[in-house]
Amino acid sequence: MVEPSLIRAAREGDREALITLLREIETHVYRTAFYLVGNEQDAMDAAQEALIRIYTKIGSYEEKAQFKTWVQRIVTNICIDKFRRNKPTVSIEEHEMVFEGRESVEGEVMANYAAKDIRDAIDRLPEHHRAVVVLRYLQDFSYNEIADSLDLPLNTVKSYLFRARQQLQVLLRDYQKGGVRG
Amino acid sequence: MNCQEVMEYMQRELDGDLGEIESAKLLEHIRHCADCAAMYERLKRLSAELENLPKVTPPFSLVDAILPKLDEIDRANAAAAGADAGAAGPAGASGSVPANGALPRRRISRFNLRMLGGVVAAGIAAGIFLVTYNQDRLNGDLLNLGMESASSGSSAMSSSASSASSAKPMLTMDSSRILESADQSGPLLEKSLNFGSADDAAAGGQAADSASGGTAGQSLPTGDGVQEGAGPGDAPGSASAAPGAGEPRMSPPDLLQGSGDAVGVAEWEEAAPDRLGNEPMMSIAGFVDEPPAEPIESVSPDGAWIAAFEDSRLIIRDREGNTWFEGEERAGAVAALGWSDDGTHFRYELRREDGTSEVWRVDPVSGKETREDTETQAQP
Repeated sequence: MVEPSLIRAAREGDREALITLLREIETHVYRTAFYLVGNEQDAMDAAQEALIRIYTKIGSYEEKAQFKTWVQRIVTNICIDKFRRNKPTVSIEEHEMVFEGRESVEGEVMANYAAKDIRDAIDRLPEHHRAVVVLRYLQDFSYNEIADSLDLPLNTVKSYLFRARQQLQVLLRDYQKGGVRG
Repeated sequence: MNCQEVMEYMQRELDGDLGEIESAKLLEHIRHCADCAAMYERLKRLSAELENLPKVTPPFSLVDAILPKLDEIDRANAAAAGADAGAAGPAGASGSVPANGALPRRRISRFNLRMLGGVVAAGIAAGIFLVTYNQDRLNGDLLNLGMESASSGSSAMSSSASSASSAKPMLTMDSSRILESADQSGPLLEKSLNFGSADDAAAGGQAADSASGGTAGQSLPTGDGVQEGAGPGDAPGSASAAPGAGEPRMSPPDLLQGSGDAVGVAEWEEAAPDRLGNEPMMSIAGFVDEPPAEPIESVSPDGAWIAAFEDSRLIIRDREGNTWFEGEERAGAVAALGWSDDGTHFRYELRREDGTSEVWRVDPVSGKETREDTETQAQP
């Protein structure tokens, strides 16, 4: 949580405060970028661009918005606009409500998904679904905060998140079965 | 409660969004529905895995990595403020606006955008005048130099202003026609800068850079004969007293150097729209305005200091406007100036009419100035 007084000082033109502020948020900015663009190099580029944009646009930040959602909006926009990759994503509609029988569950419950598999699966989500998941799990944002960050209606956020989780669950189950891999 | 509804409950439960009653309903359903129980298990596990995703951190400090760029942005903004003051005339106290005052900055840069077209046109016009002047008075070598600068100015124009084609063949035209075309391209350029995208604006900045380089370059062969006391134009091509790429690029001599050097131009292309025109404006303003000393102003990288030349003396103020250093009155034109990267001292080079120069280093906190050129290291 960033000190409100620091934000205020930064907004009022205190350069040192602004730099301190950037240092406090750089990890959060990078983390979102990393999971959105899927690799370190692009994440560094996107995060740096986001920090520069925050530096130059701090005067346009209005205190009625939460600072952290304002920051995440900037970084997600950059990642989605500029680092759009041509990787195939799965259609989120493909797997509606797949219920499995008990037998397939028991084998899985014991095993943990490999972190790599989860990252691959996140990578295959459509951009906005991915962004919702990243904000929910990497930034610990509430539905409302995600909605503010992505400029989406609350219901859309929920439906994206729910669908994304269903999707991930299916993808990961496929991975575990040694099935299709991205 | 059907399984679809339960699905939503499960999802919301993962986010801590269920009330007690809803939670109880969910559990009740799961107790009796194996499919939903299995699904819930998988979702819970997935959610836990997502929560445990590595909290990656950048391999090195991103802020440190972008600091040079931020300094550059500040300098551009400071130059914008300085140019604003220059354009506003002697009363331009607004030149001391700190670099990060975001609201005033926006206004200033718009203001400069509007000014830019006219200034570029004026610069070209002045350049053309000098070219023709040279034709009459100077030998071929000098003329070539001038023409090179002029043509670089015109080709840069064509990259951003749609009317620049009319300005392009200017070297073959007589000077009155050229003035005319420059005048025409002015307003159009202004338009494209005002309404264009950021990319357009960056290109415009480059055009302005080249144009101003051209303008200043013109004064090389003619020297004081044409624009007497036009500070920025007086000592072209001199080595900047401020070494290194990290130095402020706002001084007119820096621009002079930049005009002939590809790296300088590339930096301009990268620059944010905010900086366009502002720096070039300074040199052109110095060239065109009658009181040439007025617009020379330089803000330290940390925004704490503003150095300004007023009545041939250097004055350094803090951002509240308190004067910390007031130098002696010295004859000569300021050929180079800049702050150290850490903002602790200011350096400038003074070029006298007899061709000699001196470099001064000033520490505003102690109020000391030191002569730094090769002749002497002594205190004044």
